[in-house]
Amino acid sequence: MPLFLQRQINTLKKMLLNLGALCEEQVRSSIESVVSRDVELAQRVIEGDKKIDLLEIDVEEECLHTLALHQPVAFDLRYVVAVLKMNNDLERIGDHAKSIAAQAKYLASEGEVSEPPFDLDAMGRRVEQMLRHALDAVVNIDVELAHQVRVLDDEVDIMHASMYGRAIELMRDHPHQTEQMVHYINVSRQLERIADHACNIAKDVLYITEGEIPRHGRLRRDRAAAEEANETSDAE
Amino acid sequence: MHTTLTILLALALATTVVVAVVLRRRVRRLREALSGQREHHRQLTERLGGVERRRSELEAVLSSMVEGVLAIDGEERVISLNRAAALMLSLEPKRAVGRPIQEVVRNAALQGLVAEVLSGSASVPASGELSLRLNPGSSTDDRSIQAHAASVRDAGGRHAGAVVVLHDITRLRRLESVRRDFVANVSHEIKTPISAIKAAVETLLDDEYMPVGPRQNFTGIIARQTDRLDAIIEDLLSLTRLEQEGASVVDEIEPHPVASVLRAACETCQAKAHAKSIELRIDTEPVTAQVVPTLLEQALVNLIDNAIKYSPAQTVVQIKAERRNEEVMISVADEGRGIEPEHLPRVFERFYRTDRARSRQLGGTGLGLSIVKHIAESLGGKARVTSQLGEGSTFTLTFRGGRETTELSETEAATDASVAGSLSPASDRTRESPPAESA
Repeated sequence: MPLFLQRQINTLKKMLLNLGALCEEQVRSSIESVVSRDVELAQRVIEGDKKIDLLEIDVEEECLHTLALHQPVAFDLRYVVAVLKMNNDLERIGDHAKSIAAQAKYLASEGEVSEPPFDLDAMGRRVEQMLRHALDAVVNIDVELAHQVRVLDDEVDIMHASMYGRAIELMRDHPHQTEQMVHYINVSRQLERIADHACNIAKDVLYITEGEIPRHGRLRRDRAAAEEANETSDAE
Repeated sequence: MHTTLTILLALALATTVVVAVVLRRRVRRLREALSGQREHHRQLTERLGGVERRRSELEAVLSSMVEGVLAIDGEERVISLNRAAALMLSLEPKRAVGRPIQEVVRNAALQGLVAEVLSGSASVPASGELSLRLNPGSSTDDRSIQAHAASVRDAGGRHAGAVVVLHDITRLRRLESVRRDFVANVSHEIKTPISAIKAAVETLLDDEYMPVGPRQNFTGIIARQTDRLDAIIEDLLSLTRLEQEGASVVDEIEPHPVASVLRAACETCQAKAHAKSIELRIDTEPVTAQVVPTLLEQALVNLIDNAIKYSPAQTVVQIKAERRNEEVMISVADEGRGIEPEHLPRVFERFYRTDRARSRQLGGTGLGLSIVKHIAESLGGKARVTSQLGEGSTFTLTFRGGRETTELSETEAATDASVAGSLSPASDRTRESPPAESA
């Protein structure tokens, strides 16, 4: 590979990881602000999102620059495309963190609930772990770690799904806490979305190494099977 | 014929001589060159040794520093890091060296700092505070790290990289927050009884013709809250005294048998224990410890009083003293509800409460354990707590053991045991209650 392309790709990686570090901290702080009812911290998270938005634009421009000037192929092309996509996911993660912080501000201004509808601490820690693993997988192009992220995502999905029932129960038992519960449901949904984006990042790592798009595997297999069936019926 | 032979011979001889002379000269020159080489080699080895020595000296200095030091080249790659930096950032030096900082440490603040210095926009060293998580996944191990970054320039004055110095200020930050909490708590704790008193007094003033019943109610409130205020201020004063006299207490420390102090403390608390049918069980080896008896008694009374407060009725509070090597361990164990693990590290803090409402209802000032810890520390000992939720808590005080022979302490302990109850300063208050061992 030409040296300047290598250097360009290294720069891209550094920029992406810088954005990743920011997002990781934003997510952590946003969860912390809900747990400790810290309005100041929540406000810092909301302000901090601007920096992520600006960085996202920088990364995207750098990617387009690389594509246009160096016309990478094979692994390098996949890498640049994956960075473009991960960049997008990270920016969305930043938005969700901001949104959690907004819920935190509201929850802190209201009375404390008797019991949140889900184990915020456990779910938050799981989501943080997913994001950390996903970014670690990007650093080392670690396929094993990327697979682990997808396993963790299932756990988060289960946590999120079981939260609804509990929230409804709690609303019935303590009708005056309904508003807080709605906000907790939102927090849970944002966390679940962050987990999904982390999962996407992990899938992009698989895409870089394997060159196959791992998303919607079943759908694509079904389509392939349908096409095959069509062909055989045409032949007949 | 003969002459030709002679001439030939002479010629041969002459040639040999010439060759020999030339050869000898060449050998001499070679030898000289060789010795020059040797000298050169010796100098080179010496110089290399010097460089090596200086390098290892530098490394030794860096690795024994408390501050973390991180060197980064112009391409943002880690050149080297010392042991402290590796520990703070939880890195493996071998894996980190040669890789970009963005890959190695995922901390936006640190990355930003390095980028700022390398871009040359900061002419003066840049600094910032980072919050790092030592064990990813746990929320308890947040560390605050102060980082200073300065650019490194080569001989030509160009940017060659950056040096980051990391300083762990977690303790400092923690102390700051403890102090802030303390001021807030003192104000709050004092304000609460004062508000109650104020409300009662205002009501009394407003209604001149209030019947005796309610009037007594209100004066009762005033009396109770004044007592509370008095208890808080008394505790605060004794804490301050302990802090100020911390140094002078050292002179009064002397070997003293533990058993007598334990008994005296138990007798002080006997009435409260009796009221809840709690048995105070003393189990002590005849040991002596390096203490000031009055202070040790105060600490023990606080601990036993707490144990009684937080135990359900008809349980046992076990008070033990035993010698472990050079140390004497005195423990007070209850069968209460226990303390949640997250509160354990903080229970000795002033006004720290695991459950505000319950603790206030039980009449604590929030300073008892803090006093215990201060006493233990001013006597050169330690105060610790272990707890199992639902099974109870054990508070342990550790002091240096007495130096003299065990026989002496044994006889002293025996005499103490026989006179306990009649000589104890608190015995008048607990006369009606049965002796500690059979409660």
